[in-house]
Amino acid sequence: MEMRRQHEQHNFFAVRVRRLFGACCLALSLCAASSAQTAPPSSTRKAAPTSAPPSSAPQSAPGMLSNQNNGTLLQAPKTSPRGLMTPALGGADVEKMSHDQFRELPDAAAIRYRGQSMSKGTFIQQRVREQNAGPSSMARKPMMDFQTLKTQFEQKQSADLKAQNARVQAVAERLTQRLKQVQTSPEYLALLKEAGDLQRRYAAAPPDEKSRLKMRALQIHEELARRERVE
Amino acid sequence: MTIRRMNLLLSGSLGLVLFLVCQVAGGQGVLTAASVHSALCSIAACQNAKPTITGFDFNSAFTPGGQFVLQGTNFNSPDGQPGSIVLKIGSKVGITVIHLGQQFYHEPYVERQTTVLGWADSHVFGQIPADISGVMDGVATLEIQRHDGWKSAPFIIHFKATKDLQILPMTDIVVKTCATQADTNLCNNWSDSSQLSIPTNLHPIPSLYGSHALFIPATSSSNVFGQDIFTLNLQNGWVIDNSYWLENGITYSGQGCNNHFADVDPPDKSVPNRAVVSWDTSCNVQYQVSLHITGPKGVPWK
Repeated sequence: MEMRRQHEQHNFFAVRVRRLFGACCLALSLCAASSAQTAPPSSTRKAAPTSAPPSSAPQSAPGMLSNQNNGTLLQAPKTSPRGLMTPALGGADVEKMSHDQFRELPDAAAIRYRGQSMSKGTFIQQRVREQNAGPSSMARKPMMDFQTLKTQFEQKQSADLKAQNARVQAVAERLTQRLKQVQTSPEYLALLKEAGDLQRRYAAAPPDEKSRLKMRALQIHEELARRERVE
Repeated sequence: MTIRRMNLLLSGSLGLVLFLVCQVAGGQGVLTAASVHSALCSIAACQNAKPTITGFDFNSAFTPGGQFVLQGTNFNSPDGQPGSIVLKIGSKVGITVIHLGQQFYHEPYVERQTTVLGWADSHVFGQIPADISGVMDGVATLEIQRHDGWKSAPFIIHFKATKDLQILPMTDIVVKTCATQADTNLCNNWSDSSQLSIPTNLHPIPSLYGSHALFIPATSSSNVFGQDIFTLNLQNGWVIDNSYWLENGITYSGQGCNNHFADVDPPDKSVPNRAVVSWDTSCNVQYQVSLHITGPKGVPWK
């Protein structure tokens, strides 16, 4: 009889504990539901499509950094000193949270993931490690070495200049050739010869002859200069 | 008296001998193209006209290492010797100052002799020194300085600086908008989570780096979209060079995602100071972009 009473008493306490636990769970669920209702619907998290103008960019989304034209950045949430320590209590199951609920939790908040309790910060670190360690589902685009690109850029610039210089050289050679043709032409050589004769005669010429030779010297000089003007 | 006559006779004979020697030495009076003008102008009163540059061949490259042909008149000095061609960039009297916000860039005054490759009375052929740097594209002048000292008026040309290619560093980019639609978001040095950081093994260090990760398993096929906007401010003739932009390194990363995609609209002529990255993920998207910039070598871009 005594044993039966003890057993009933035990059952009574067990039921009370279970009820208390149930009430706690209900309260937690209500809290979670309330939180879910206050979080923006998932559709508000969608950004404007790529083709949308900048004004329709997701500037109104919660927590978004925008219009920081002076380079000031929003302060990233800081991890508390105990942030990465495994918390004593389990916390909410991450797989049952909405994105908004997850985002709103501080790094130090306790969460449960696949039966394990950990801080949100630890969870993110683990997942990032997993994602980075696993094989990428899409091949990474191979990046060309910048030094190779730079060398190509310089080589192209150099080649363009070389080609342009070659065109200038061709022009210069054509002008030189034309000048050579002029200077070896019979007319030019005749003027040269006349200039030499004139120079010889001038020294011993009488004054009136000198005056005539001067005039002729100027004419020859101008004629030679005119012929030398090649284009 | 006798002595005087003797001296005159002697000096007359000496003069004749010297004249004959000169005739022989002068190749019996044959002048060359180089010496004829000098000889004629010693007799005639040639007008010593100032050299004048009237134009240049359109193929001319007024750039470091570039060759050019200048056209004009009276480039030859009477002695037939070639002169020099002087390039002047900037101002000698005042310093060309470019105002850059709180900073100033002092463009140096450059005065250099070009290499003379050919010289005639109506044209000269030269080459600009290849090592000129620190100056921007813009107006410069060339001057002909004849061997006898006569100078032409400065002739205005458009100087084109040697170009350099660089990656715009992340520090010179402002994160205008970092979309926070994912669970954790990172755009360059801004993040909404202290757990995200730019990987240290990226080479070269990109101009734009973004990471948007979802850790909550996707409940539907709908992905999360976002748009990150970056702004930049290039100065002193530096511009974005999109010629290699396919190699700029848009990388995708993801594991077990339905979809992940990043599309970069690099700055272009219509919006030169803005780069937009549109992304779409059900899991994790990362991107890294190197913005290539080109500008005058030795001149800062900010």
